[in-house]
Amino acid sequence: MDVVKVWSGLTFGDRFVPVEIQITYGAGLPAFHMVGMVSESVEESKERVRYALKSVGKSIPQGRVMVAFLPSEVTKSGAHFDLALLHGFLKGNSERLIVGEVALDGTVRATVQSLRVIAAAYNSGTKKFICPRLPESVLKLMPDGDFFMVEHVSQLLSGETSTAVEDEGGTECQGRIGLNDVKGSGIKRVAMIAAAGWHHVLLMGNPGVGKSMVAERMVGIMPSMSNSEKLDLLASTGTLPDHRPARFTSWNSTPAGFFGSAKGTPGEVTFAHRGVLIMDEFPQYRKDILEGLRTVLDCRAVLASYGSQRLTWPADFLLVATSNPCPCGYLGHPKKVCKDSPTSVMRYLGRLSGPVADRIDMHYWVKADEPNEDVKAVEERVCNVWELQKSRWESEGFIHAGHIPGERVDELVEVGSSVRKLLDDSVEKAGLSRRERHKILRLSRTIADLEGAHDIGINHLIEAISYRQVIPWLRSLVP
Amino acid sequence: MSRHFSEDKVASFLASQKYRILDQNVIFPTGEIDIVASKGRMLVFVEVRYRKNFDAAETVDLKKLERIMQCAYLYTGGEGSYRVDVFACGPKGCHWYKGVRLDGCCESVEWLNLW
Ligand SMILES: [Zn+2]
Repeated sequence: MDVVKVWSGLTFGDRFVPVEIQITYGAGLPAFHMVGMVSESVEESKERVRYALKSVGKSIPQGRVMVAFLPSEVTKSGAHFDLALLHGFLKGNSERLIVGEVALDGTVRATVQSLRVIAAAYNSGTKKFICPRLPESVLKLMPDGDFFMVEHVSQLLSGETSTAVEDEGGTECQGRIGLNDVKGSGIKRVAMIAAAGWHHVLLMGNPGVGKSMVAERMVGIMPSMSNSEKLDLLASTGTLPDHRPARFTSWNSTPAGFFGSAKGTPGEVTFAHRGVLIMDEFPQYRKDILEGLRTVLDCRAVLASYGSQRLTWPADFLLVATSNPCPCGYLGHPKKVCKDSPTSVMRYLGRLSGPVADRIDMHYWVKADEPNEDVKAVEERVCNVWELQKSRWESEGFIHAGHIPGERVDELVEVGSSVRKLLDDSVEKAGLSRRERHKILRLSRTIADLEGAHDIGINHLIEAISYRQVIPWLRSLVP
Repeated sequence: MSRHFSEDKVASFLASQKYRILDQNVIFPTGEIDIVASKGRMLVFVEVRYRKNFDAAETVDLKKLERIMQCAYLYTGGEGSYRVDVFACGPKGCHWYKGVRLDGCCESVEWLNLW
């Protein structure tokens, strides 16, 4: 009995799992069997393989063909094993990782799944591939890769590789929208601080003041994505956006859509990795989403288990939540009157102090008629803070002030004695929790960095404290 | 070319190979056996398939094999040595699958230019 071995792979969260494919031929009535926990999507590749072989004038060898996928305890799904099977039939063994879906006419296609497998495999050290033609933007992310790219199955036989490079045109900053069309100096400053220090932010305000508009624009003032950030996003989602992702979610999202499903589809939190996740009407989200979000924010990843396997999706996003101040929306409005009962308003505000809200550093009250001044050199200042904070804390395992864990804030954010006294007094007077104190310190650090100040000053601290006063103010409006 | 024509061709081929043709088209409660032959002490149950457009062997699935095995068992009462052969015929000739087992594997395959 002859055994041909080729290998492919699959992704588990953002992790690469190599899959060995063994093709065994035996005498007997014709049969084409697949074993090793193959799902229906892999079974379907039998037909594609049959037709693709026909497209180059070949057929599946006579007799009994047994295809075994190893390791057998992991479910194999997806259409990206086609190319590996075809290589096994047409050329035999290969040491390269083979990934790609093949159409009935023999055309080799890059599916989302194949891109994920290639990126995750590269991340885990695989360098030699046989794969569909990849766009230049993807190849650029993997400079050490040795890619044998085929556009048609016939090229497996001829050994000719596809050298044509897809012309993508465009520039790095294409489509980036800055803060220019956002009205209000206050909200522009909040966007800048949040983006600079990766501080999750809650924007509150009456209906129609444009709370969510600024959120999408925040990715436009952050530095461009690095190659490794792009590769992580490609490995987990199979997508490669032109700029940092800004994902808009609504309160009626399902947990599977939000966090991803165990079957292997990533959720919004992963699509927003290293970008912005917008949660509109934050208090109305399902309780299970808010509960789950707490761990995601702490780990900057989705941790799930699927059977006996642990699975990780990267989910290091900047959270921008928006909310009305009360059910009717008009509490705090300069002219209109809130029609809600005090208990319903308090219950509504109560939802803003749960476990997730605990992880939001900045609160801001958005007004319709803020004075509007231009904030100068926003991108440059944000970029400088990123570099500064990264060099300061990278050895500790994080790169933004917003990432500093609560238990390490006091140690890592130093303040002078006069600033400390003001902080202690304010905390005591307002009866703030330790968590609140940590948020104020993290924010002060970023504000000082934005101003190019080495030490945190009184004015930085006062501004930081102002971003903790929206909810107490709203509570004071309830009779 | 009819079904009986290909069966007769196979039967005469077997005869030319020193097989004795014992029966043709034997009907059992579980199905029909096209040819029963013997060589020495070995009984051979033969299934003949003909398809014009594709490989006739593909029409012999595991269920069909099981039925042939049951017929063979009823014929022999489970005694003596016997085997099942499949002739998968097309316009150009036949594949002779010798000693097919219940899982579809066989001892050998031979290509015959029967007509
Ligand atoms: Zn109201």
